[in-house]
Amino acid sequence: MEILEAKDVTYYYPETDKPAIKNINLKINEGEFVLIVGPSGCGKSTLLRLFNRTVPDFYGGKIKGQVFIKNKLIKDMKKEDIVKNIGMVFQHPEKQIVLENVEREIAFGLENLNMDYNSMRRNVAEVMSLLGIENIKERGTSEISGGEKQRVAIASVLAMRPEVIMFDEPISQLDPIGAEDVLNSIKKLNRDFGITVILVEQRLDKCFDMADRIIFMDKGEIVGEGSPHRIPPFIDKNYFLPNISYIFKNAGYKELPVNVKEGRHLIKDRVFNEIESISSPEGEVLIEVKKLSFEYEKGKKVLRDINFNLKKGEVLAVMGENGAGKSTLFKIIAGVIDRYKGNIYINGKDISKLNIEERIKKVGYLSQNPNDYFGRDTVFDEVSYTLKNIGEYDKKRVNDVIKSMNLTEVEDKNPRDLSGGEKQRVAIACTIVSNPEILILDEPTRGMDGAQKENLGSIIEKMKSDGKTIVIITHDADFAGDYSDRTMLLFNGEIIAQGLSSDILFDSTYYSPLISRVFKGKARVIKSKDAALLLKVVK
Amino acid sequence: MLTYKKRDTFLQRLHPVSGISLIVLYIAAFLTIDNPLYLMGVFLSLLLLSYFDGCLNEILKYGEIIFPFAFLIMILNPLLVKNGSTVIYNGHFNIPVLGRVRITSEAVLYGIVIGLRMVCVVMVCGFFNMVINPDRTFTFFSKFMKKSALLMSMTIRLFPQIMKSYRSVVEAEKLRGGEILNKGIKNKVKNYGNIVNILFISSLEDSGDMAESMYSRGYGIGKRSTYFNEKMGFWDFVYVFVCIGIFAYMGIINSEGLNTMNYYPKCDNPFKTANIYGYVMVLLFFIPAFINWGFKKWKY
Repeated sequence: MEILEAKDVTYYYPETDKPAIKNINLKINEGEFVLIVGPSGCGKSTLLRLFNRTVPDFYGGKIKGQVFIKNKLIKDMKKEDIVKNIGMVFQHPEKQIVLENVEREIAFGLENLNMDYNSMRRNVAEVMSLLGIENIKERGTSEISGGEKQRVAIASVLAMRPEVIMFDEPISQLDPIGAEDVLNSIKKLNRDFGITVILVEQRLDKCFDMADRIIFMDKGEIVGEGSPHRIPPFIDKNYFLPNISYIFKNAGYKELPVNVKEGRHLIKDRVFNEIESISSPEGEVLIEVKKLSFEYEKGKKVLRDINFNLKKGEVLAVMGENGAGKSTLFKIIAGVIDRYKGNIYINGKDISKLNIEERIKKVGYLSQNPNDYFGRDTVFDEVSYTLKNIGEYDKKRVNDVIKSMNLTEVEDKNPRDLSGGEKQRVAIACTIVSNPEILILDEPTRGMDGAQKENLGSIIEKMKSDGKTIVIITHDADFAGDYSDRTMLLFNGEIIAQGLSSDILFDSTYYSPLISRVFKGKARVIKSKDAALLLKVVK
Repeated sequence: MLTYKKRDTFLQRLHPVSGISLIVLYIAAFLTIDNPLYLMGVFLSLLLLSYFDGCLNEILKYGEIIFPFAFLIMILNPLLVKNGSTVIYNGHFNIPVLGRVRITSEAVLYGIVIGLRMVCVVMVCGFFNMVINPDRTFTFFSKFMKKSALLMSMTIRLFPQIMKSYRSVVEAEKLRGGEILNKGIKNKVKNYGNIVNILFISSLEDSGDMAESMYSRGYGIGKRSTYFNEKMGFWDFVYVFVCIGIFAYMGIINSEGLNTMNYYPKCDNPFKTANIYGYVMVLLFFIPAFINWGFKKWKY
């Protein structure tokens, strides 16, 4: 039985002539797990918001067509009935949490429904047990991890006992462990409790095979529909498919695996030639770190005895658990943090002796949140800002960087009005405009779709070919495998492994790219392109 | 971080109404008291209250953050305001925008008082953040005033959110050479302006996301129930009574002109305009601190 239906729906956000979604016809059945995929800005989130009427009630704008919940026209329903039936969990764990205390946050929706105290207590206790968060109920929502925050957000919605829960990229901001916990919770809700789930996600590797049905969206429209093992043949873009499926598709396979197990099964009888071993680029040592240690508070060491070298033109991936000290280490190298012990040399010169202008020209650091950069009115002004600060403003140089980042069309727009991928490119432009010899990217792929990652990858490759040294701090093992020469694993403030990515990533249990796991025991592969080539050769 | 943290102090345990009464009283005092001697006295009572609550360091940090802006006001007021009869400096040239500079001691003193007032109000807001549990306050007030409670909750959260983002925005500015601008007051102010601009825009965007999350969970659809009930205790009544008493006394003093102090055209002598009624008012402001001290000593 259909629980939700959209009939010929087209929607325009206020003050725009271009529809965010158009001609949407979609039926969702009771108990179904539906995954909606597509590139950033294709209207996935807007589509979700139709079903709880935040579009158009909260956002305004114009809507055509009809939306139904259990065959009732949504626009005739009371808000209370919609809230009781449809719950929604958002992308950013921090931004959707209203209260400071975990238990109060879970009860928030129930209070809004004016539920009596005893029923509230029961619902809150039950969902806490179900999602395994009783142990954090007394804690502050600002003290818990991202994954726990997202589970609290789910609990808060689940406590209201909705029949449908919609998830808008719930794992995009989480580390792998947090993402795994959240996805397991979502799976449990659907499989064990029959709750209808609609999931919008970019990180498809972990959730593609969970869905009963997959809706493919592009440019505001539904362009196709399928299931994990019935993907329409015309679906061939990387933002529609998990990386493994995309690699096999590129290699010409008809049957597409959607997880490691299926990938291994497909190649179980095949023998591959060993691929050429990759070596790190030869070059002069650019960064030399000797006996570096650091503590924010006395007695609490964040970094201990760090020693490593980085060569010119090398791409280094830095991986490790949250709080391992990855960002701190490279913030020290970028000159944001001082009071460290040990020595850091760039081109043989101690960085503590560099002045700010010299340091900015040597090291560019792209922080995790692009919004931290944006205070100027236009993209052009934003990119010019660093050069003006160091007294080297050059209009041509700014224009060149804007062009190289494919931002010419939006150079007069306010950076805050751009899409997530565009914002990221503006932030990169702001960082590379000073032409630093070393570029440090902190979690650059967070929230990016496959196409955006590929675009970022080509920027990295271009910079590498220009002789720049690049450091990628990431949890994304696939991206690290595709673009890094060397990898460093940091745990608890110590380097526990460093070397060629082909060795470190391939041999890692947890930090290996998914494609390496597919080829384990067959060929030492860490790059998607190499994997596709190998698969083609064998066929 | 300069945000609310559960410390289980006497003030944190008070009912939201008592806490809010205290904050409203202090803000009213800092906005209406003209005599700098009284202002300093009330300010001292706030510092003492924070000391007994154990949040003095955090409150001083709030003061530290706002001081550059207050200092800017102290500098700009005498440059821009030409009123006052005691001329300290008379410029000889016409400066664009400012015209011919004429600095009077009245404008200098008034600038200092306004700057001090600004620091005091921000420190009260900081104090509010440290002692008022945002959840309890929101839950309690949302029963009666949905939209106002929402607005209040957003406001309460705005400052802590700004504080959380402050470090990363400052880091980003530093990485982009923003700190080079620190050379000279003009550039320092410009740099601070950039940071504040980024912080406010980001916080507004975040508030929109939170509002959507609240809306989609049914906030504002009708009557609300409460998961944790709030009850007024003995000391809550005492605090509310004390606050109302001081507020009324302050109102009488103001209406009787006992707090009047003129800055222009000639500045009154604050010592001469001060009177016994004003000193009593300042002393009354020490009662909440005294109660807090008593709690620490006798644990009532």
